[in-house]
Amino acid sequence: MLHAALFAAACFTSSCKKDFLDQKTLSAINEKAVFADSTISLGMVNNLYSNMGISFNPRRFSNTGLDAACDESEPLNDPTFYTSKISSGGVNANNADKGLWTTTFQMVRAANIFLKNKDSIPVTAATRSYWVGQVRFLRAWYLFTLLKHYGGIPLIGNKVFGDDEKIDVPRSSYQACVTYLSNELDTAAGMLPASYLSGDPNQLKVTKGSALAVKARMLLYAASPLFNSGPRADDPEHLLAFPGADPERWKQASDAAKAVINLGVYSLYSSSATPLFTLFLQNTPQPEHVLAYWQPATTANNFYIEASANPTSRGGMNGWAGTKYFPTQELVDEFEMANGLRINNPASGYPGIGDNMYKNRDPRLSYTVNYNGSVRNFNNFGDQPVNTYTGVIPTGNAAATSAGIDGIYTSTGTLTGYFRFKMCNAASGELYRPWVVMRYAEVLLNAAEATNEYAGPTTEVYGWLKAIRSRAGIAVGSDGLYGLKAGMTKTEMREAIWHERRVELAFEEHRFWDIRRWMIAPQTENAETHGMEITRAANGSFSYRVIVIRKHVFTDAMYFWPIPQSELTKSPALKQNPGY
Amino acid sequence: MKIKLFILMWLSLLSASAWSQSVTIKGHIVNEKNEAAGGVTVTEVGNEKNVVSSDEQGNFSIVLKAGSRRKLLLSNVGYTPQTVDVTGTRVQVRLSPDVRGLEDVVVVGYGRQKRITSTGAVSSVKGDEIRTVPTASIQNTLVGRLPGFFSQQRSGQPGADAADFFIRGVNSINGDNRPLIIVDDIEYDYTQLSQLNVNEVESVSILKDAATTSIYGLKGANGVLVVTTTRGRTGTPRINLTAESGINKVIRMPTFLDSYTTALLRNEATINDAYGQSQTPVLPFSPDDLQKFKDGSDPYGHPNVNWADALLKKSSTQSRYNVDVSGGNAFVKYFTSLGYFSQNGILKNFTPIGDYVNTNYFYRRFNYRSNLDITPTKTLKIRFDLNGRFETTNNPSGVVESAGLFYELSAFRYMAPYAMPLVNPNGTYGYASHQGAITSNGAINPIFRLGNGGYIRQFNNNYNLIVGADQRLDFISPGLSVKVNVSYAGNNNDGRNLNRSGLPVYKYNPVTNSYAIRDATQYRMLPYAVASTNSAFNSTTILQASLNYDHTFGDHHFTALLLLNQRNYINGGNIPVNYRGTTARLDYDFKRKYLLGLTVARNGNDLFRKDNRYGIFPAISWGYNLSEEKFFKNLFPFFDLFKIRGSYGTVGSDASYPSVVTSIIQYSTTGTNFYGNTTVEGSLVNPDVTWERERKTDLGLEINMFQGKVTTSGSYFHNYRYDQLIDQAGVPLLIGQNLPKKNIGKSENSGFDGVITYRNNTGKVNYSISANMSYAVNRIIYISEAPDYPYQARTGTRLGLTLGYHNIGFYQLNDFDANGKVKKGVAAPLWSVIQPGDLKYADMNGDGVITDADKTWLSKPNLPSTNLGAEFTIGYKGLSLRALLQGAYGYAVQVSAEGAGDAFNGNLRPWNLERWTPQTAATATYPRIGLNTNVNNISWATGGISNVSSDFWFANTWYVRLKSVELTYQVPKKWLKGARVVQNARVYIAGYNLANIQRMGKFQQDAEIANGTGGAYPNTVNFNFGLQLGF
Repeated sequence: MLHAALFAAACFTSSCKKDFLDQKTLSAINEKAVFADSTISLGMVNNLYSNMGISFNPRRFSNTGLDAACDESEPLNDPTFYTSKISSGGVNANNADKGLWTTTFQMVRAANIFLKNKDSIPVTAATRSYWVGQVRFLRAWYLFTLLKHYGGIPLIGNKVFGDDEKIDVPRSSYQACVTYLSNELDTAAGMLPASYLSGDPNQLKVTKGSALAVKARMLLYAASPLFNSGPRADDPEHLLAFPGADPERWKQASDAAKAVINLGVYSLYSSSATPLFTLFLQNTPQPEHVLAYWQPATTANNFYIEASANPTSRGGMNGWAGTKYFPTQELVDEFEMANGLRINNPASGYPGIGDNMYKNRDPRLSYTVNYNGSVRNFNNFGDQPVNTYTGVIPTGNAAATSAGIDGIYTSTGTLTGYFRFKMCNAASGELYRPWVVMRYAEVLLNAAEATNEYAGPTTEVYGWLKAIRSRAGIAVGSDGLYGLKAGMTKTEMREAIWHERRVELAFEEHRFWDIRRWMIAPQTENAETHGMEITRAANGSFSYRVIVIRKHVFTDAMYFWPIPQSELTKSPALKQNPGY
Repeated sequence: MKIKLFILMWLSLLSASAWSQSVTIKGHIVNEKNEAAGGVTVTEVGNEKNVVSSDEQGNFSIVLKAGSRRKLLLSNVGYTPQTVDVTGTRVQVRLSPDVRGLEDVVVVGYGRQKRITSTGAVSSVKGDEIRTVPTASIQNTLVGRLPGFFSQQRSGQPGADAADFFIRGVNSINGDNRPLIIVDDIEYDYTQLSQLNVNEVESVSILKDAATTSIYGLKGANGVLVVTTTRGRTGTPRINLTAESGINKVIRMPTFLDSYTTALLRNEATINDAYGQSQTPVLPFSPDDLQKFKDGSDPYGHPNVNWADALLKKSSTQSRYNVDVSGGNAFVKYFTSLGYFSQNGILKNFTPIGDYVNTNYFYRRFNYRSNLDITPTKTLKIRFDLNGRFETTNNPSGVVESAGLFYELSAFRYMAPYAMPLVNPNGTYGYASHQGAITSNGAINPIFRLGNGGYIRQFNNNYNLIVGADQRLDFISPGLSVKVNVSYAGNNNDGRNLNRSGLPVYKYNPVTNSYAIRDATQYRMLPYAVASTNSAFNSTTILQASLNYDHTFGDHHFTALLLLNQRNYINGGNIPVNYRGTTARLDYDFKRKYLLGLTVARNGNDLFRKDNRYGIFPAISWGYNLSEEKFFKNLFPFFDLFKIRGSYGTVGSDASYPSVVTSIIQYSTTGTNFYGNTTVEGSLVNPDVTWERERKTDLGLEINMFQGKVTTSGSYFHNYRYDQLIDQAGVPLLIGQNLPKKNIGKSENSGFDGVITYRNNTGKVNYSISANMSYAVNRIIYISEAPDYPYQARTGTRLGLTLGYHNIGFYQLNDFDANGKVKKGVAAPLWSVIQPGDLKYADMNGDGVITDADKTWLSKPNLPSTNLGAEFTIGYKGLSLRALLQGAYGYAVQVSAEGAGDAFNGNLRPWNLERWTPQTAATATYPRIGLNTNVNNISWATGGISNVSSDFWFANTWYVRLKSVELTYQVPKKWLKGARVVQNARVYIAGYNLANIQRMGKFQQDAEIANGTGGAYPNTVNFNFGLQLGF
C-alpha cells in the first residue's frame, strides 16, 4: 500500500511539474539576437569608443591627470591623490590603481565578442570590414595604453573568457606585444577610410590615419632608450624592454610617422589668430585631429577641464577643496621668448623675474597657462586680469579682489602662482568639444624625433619643426628658422625636439611618458618643483620670489606601474614589475 | 508485498471475529479535581482500531467483542496513560496528571511528537504562559523564554514594535537569516506573525536542528518557528471574556542641554572651527544673548524649550479585549475568538478644537478566528478554519524627517532648544531660523505641524482559510490515515495620507513687537490634501496532502509521514512564485528506549533552472532513553527521564534568491554615446544558482528528575553553511566583465542552548524557577576575496562586522608644531584640517595619511552572542506571580548621526560637556566641539565625503530587563456562586520591560533597539490591568 501511495505521489509530482514549476519565459536580447541585427551590432562598435580617453583624461585621478604626476603641474597638496602618490614615490602594489586594468579588459572582451560574431551580422562585406577595422583599431588602442603603463601585458588574442574557466594568463614580452599591436594596427588601417566627407554620419570615427599614427607613436616609444637599454637583469622574460638595442627601430618609427604625413589628409590648424587656443575649442572635426575622443552628446559641454583647472573666481571647483592642479615654474620657464630663443640665452631679451617676465614670450605660454595678469573673462566684469598674488588685496568688486580666492596661499587659490589654461574656454562656462587625443603636430614631432635619431637633423626635420613654430606664432627671424639654431648636431636637434614637445604638447599626456622613455625622469623627477610667489604691496607694486613647491621622488621601479596586488593574488602566472 | 500479505491476513482475522458476541461497556472519567474529563481517548488494548472518546460529561461507551482482553487504555494530553481492566459493564476512572512530564507533547513540523520519543531539538512555550504579556506582537513575548531564540526589539512604535528574531543566531554571509514561520501550516512573514492575537495561540515552538527542520527542505536552514492555534475541546460551551488596559511609558529618552549651554558651546565651536585662521571669528551669541538664555528674561527672543516635554505625554494608553467561545461534542468542536487591540501614541494632542483629525501614532487591530473540527464519521475529521485581521496604523504626517519624529527631536536643525518659542504671544507659531536650522518646511514649529499636518494611515487586512480532511484508513492498515489540507491566505494593504503643506508661520520680534511671515505666499492654512495608496493584493495558496502512519507492533513503534506540499504566491500582477516539495519521515522507537528518526525532503522552487530545481535534504536523528534501562533505573531511581539524542542532516535556504535564475547574458541596447547607440554586454550569468545548504549537527541531553521537579535540557550545535550565493572576487579582471554570484560561500555557527527548571510546592505554595541560555558564535570560513591589505580580509571574521577606522584617542597638543600643523610622522586624514582634540585614527598601512585603505573590520556584530532568560513563578491559592528576566550580551551598537550626539548635527547632550579642551585633554571623552561640518569628528558624513565612522562610535553593549511580570488573582469559586453565570473570574496586573539595566557606554540609546541613529520610537515600559471572566 505504501508503494501504491508513493507511486501515486510520484505521478502527482511528475504530471503537474511541467507547468507548475516551469520558469516563466523572459524576453531578453542575448548574444545571438545582437548579432542578428545590424543596428544593435553597430552599437557594439560604438560602445568601444566609450573609454578612448581613459589615459588622456585630465580628471583621471581625483580631478587631476598625468600632467600632475610629473613636472608639468602640481596637484593640490593632498597625499590621497593618486597623481601625488605617483610623483612622491608612494604607489605600491597594495594601493595601485585598478581602473585602467579593468577598463582595458572590459573593452577587449567587448571587441572579442564582436569579432567572434562578426560574420553573422547581416551587412555588406564592405560595412563589415569597416566595422571590424574600427574594432581592431580600438582594441589595439586600449592595449597600447595598457602597454605604456605596465610594459608587457597578458595577450589574450580573440579569447572571450567564461567565469568558470581558469584564467591565469602570463604576461607576454614587450617585443611580442609591440609586434602583435603593430600587426593589428596595420590590419585595421587597411580596413579604415583615409577620411570622411564633412557631414558623413561616421565623420567622428577613426580613420586609416588614426591607426597609422597610433602605430607610429608606439614604434617611437619602442625605439626609445627605455626599451632599448636591455638586457635587464631584473627582467629575464623581457617583459619591459627588448632584449637589446636596435637603431633600426628609429627607422621603423620614422617610416611609420612619415606614412601618416604622406596620407596627405592632415594639416596644422591655422584658421585663427590664436590657433593653439582655438584649436581645442572646435566642435567639428579638424584636419589637425588625428584621433579625437568625442564625449556623449547627452552630457554636452561636460568636459570639465575648466572645472578642475580654472581659477576659482572663474568657476573652478571652489567647493570644499578648490581647483585641483597648477602648472609649475619649470613648465613656464620652458617657454621661449617670441623670437624663438630660450630665456637663459642672453640674446633672448628675457628680463628675468619681475613685472615683465611674461611679456614677449612664445605666444603658446599665454594659451597654456594663466599667470598673474593674464586677462580672462570674468562673468559680468568682462575681461579682467587673473590675480594670483598674495599680500595686500585691493578693495573693490569681485574682480578686483579675486586674489582673495585665487591668490597663492589662499585655501581655494593657486599653489604655484599659475593656473592651467590650455584647452579651457576663455569665456565663462563649458563648451562642447572633443579631447584631441592625437593631433598632427604630434605626428610631425614623432617624425622629427625618429628621423633625427636615425638620420640626424635633416632638412625634413628642420621643416617639421619650423612648421610647428611658425603656426605657434614665433617670429620667423632673419634666417627663416624661427629661432632654431642653424646646422645643429644630432644632440642639439634632440634637445630642440624635446623642448618643442614639452611646449607644444603640454597637458596632452606626453610629458609623463616622454621623461620615462627618454630615461630623463631620474633627473627631472628627483627634483623640487617650483612656483612663483608674487606679493603685492599696498601701493600696488609687486615683488617676485621663486618658491619650492614639492620634492618629487623617482626610483627605477617607477618607469612602470605596479600591477594591483589583488590581480597577482588571483592570477599566480602574472609577474609583478621589478621594484614593487 | 509483505505488507500486503500481512494486511490480507489481518483482514481475514477481523472478519472471523465479526460474528462473535459483543458487550457494551459504559464508563465515566474524571480528572484529579473530580471534574468530568471530556475528550479522553479510550482505546481497546490489542485492538487499536476500536477507539472512542469521552463526551463533555466525561462519559463514554465502547463495544468489546467476545474474546477481547477487556483492557482499555485511557489517554489524554497532560495525563499519564492508564490501562483499566474491565470486569463488569461499567467503569469509573480517575485520571492522574503526568507530573514527570513524560507524556508532554511537542509540536514539530507537520505533526506532534511525544517529548520522550522525540529526537529533535525543539523548544516550546504554551499560549497560557505568554498570554498576559502586555505587548502587541507575539514575538516580543518569546524573548527570554525559549533557549535558542535571539531577538531584538528595535522600536516601540505602536504597530511596528515587533522584535526581530533569529533562531540559534545567524549564519548567512548574504544576510539570509530569517527563520521560516509556520502558523497552522501556513507560511507567515514577520509582520503577519506580529499581527497574531496571542489569545488564539495554543503553543509556539522553535525547531532548531536538522531532525526537525529538514522536513522543510530548502526553507528550513534558518530554523522554524511553529505556531499552533487553539482548537475546541469536548465539553460544555465556555465563554471567555478578557478585558485589559494599561499605560505605556518610554523607557529611555535622551536628555538634551538647555539653550544657555548650547549657545555657550556654539560659541566655543565657532572659535574651534576658526583654528589656523588669522581673523577672529564673529561669535553667534553675545554675552547679552547668553545672559538672556541664562535668566530666561526674554522667552520669545531667547527661548529655551524642552521639545521632548513639549511634544510628548508622560504616558500613552493601550487596551485589549478578547471574547472566545469554545466547546464541543462528539460531532463538532469549535473555538471562536474575536479580539481587539488598541495602542495609542505618545504625542500630545495638538489638533485644534473641532478638528477630528487624529494625527497621533496609534495602532488598532481586530482579530477573528473560528477553528472548527467536524467529525462526520468515526474515521473522518474535517477541519475548517477561518481567521484574519484588520489592522490600522497611524503616523503623524507632520513629521518631515523620514527617519521619524524621534530623530527630529534629537536633530539640532529641527528642534534646537532655542529654535523658536513654544508659541508666539498672539497664538501663531514660529519657525527655526537660527544658525544650523534647515530652511525647508521642517523648521516649522513642531507643535503646529504635528497638530495640523495630517496623518499617514495604513490599513492592512489579512484573511486566511484552511480546509482540511483527515481520513483514518485503518481498514487498509491500522494506524494509517490520509490528510489533505488546502489553505489560502490573502493580504491587502492600503493607505490613506492626509497632509497639508505650507503652514503659515511667523517670526516674532519682541523688540519691535512685530511679526514677520516666513513665506509671504502662505497666509492661511490650506485644506488637507488626501492621497490614497493601494499596494497590490497578494495571496498564498498552499496545498498539502499526506499519508500518516502510526502503529505499534509489540515493542516496536513506528510513525511515518509522506507529505506533498505545494505553494503558490501571487503578488498583484507579478509572475507567481511557486514551490513544491515532497517529504518523507519515519520515526521508530523500541520500547521508547532506542529512538531513530529519518527524514528526507525533496523540494524546489521555480526560481531555479529546471535541471537543478530540486534538492534533496536528508537528516538522521537518534535518541537513547537511558532512563528506560533497568540498570539505570536501579542505579538512579530519581531520574524520570534521561535521554541523550543527536541529529545530523542537511537543510536548505532559498530566501536570498529573489529573482529568476537565467542562463542568458542580457545585452543592454539603450545606451548612447556621441558615436551613436551603444550595445553593451550585461554581467555574466550563473545558470547553476542553487539554494544555500546547511549541515546541522546537534547533540542534546534531556533530563527530568525527582518526579518532574527538576527538568533540564541542553544542546550543543554546529551548523556549517555552504553553497552560499556570494560575489566572486577571485576571478582576474582579465575576464573583462562583471561576474555573477556563485554558490561558494562558507560559514559556520556553533554554540549551545539549554534550560533548567525547578518546580515544587510546599503546602499550598507552588513555585518554579527556570533559567535558560542561548549562545551562538559564527565565523566566515570562505568568502571569495582578494583584499589589497591583509587587515581588510573578511575570511575568519564574524558575520555582520562594519568596515571602519580604528580610533586611537584624540590628537593632543604635542602632535602639532609651532604653526599649528600636524607634526611630520603623525598620521592625519585629509578630509578636514586636523587640530588638537580631533579624533585620531590608526594608520593601518603606515603611509602617513589616513585614507580608505586604513579601514579595518571593527568591533562586534550587532546581534548578541548570548541571550539569557530567567523565569520565576509562585502561586498560593488563587494568587500567582510570574516574572521573567531577560538579558543579552556580547554585541555592539554603532551609534551614528543624531543618535550619537554629534554636536550641532544632533542637539547637545550631557556627553558633549565632556568634550576635549586643552584643559580637559586628559579626561575628555568627546572630541573638541565643532560645528557639524567637521567630518572627522562626527559619526556620520553629511556632505559627499566618505563615511568616517570609526569604533569610537561603537558601544560594547549588554542589557538585562525585567521583561515581564504578572500577578494574577483567581477569584475563589465560592465567591462566584452568587453571580451564577460567571464560573470563573480572574484579575491580573502585568508589566513589560519594568526594570532595565544596560551598558551603552557614553551613549544615550536603548541597548535593545541596537540601532544607533536615535530614530526609533523608544521602547516602552507597559503596565496593564486585566480582568478575565469565564461563563
